[in-house]
Amino acid sequence: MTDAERRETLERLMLAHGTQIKRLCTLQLRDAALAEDAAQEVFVKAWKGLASFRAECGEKTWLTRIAVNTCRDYQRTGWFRFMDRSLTPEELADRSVPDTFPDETMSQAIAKLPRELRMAVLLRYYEGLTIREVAHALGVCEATAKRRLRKANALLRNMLERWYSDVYA
Amino acid sequence: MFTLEIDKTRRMLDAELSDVCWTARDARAVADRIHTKGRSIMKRKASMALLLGLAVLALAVGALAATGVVFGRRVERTELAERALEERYGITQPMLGFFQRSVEEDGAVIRYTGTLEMEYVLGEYTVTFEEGNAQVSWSWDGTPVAQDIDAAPWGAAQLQEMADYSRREMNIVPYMEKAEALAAAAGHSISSQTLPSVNMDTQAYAQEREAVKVRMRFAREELVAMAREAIVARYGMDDAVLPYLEDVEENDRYSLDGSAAYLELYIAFGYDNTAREHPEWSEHFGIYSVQMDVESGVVEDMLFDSSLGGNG
Repeated sequence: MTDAERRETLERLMLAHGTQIKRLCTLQLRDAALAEDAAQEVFVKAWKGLASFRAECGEKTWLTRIAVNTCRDYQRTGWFRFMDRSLTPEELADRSVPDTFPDETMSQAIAKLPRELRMAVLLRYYEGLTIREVAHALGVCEATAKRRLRKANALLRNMLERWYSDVYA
Repeated sequence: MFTLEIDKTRRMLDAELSDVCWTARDARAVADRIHTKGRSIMKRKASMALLLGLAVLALAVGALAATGVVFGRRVERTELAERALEERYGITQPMLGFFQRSVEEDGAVIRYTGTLEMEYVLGEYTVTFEEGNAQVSWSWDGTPVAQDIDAAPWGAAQLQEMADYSRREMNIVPYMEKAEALAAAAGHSISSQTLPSVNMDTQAYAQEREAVKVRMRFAREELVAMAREAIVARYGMDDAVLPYLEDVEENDRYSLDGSAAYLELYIAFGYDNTAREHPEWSEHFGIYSVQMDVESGVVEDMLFDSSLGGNG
């Protein structure tokens, strides 16, 4: 791949997938500035990996995997751990039914999930990956991916049931 | 009953995150990061941020921690050039001992020219850079590499054969004679390329040396320690070789270039005259010249000569 082709491909990837990758990072990291930085990092990594990308998994899945790893790297930093506001499932149970639901109900509920569950939900229900692809992206077996999704579903149901019935009843 | 569904979840989240979009500013930031990478400071062990921090600290207080080595652009470009030469033509670092390196436009163009009698058969490799990537070409491109040394041009196979012979016999006379004969048969005259030399006995050089010494913000021993670290980092060696990297002080070369002041150090590894003999043969044996900025501690340039081609 020549430099010009590589540049052209990167521009196309950013145009086609930039917004979704940025939103995925926003949902996972819950910090706009950090998410912007992470999303840009995803495409810098994509640029470096373009020459070796074999299109076996499709561009979107490939970029999603990079995003998962990038977010994971960000979450491993001391700064992020210090800032992290994620709640344990036990804490969630206590706070499962807020009194009111603002406009960003869904994203806020997902943001409250523990990070492993949150990414599984985003990959499956936002990015639309198959269970196998979710497991691969997270580096876990399919059974673990399914277990995380079941757990996340149960927690979200606790948080969103009342809102959901109000909106969709 | 609430349950997550792909389409519905995506629609809801997209609606909620409608303000979050990929913008031209993001694309520019990506381009900037990629571009910056092309000119970035290299690293080993420590993170780039830490190294940059160290460099700033060094400039501020005049002391670079010995745990980090900061390389200048010329070192980075040379490394990229060598990688490109190996990837495209199979030419390894020890083989470059048969070439003379010249750097133009502060590293924008790097040439490797076959030394003296070898110039015709080895030709010249030219490396240029675009967005941080090295592009390499050979003056013999388009002509198949010869099967043996009886014809030109000579490529990686002949270079390897010569390197093996040189290590075994301590000379490459038969190859030089063959190369000379091939050049003569082709009507190619040997160029008058000469190795750079400096008369270090002149008064002018003495003044230059003293001017550099006045500006030194590191003791010579500190610069030597950094140079050793740089060699290990740059050439992928193990820290265990550090005691065997021998400082050849008599070859010190002080120089002023524009506003910069340099000390070029010579470090020998496994070379004939080294006092501390390394227990095992290594392809890294040879002479390393390391040009240090005496004020910032940045490694401005490095050159490895395997001494196989008599360059040393």
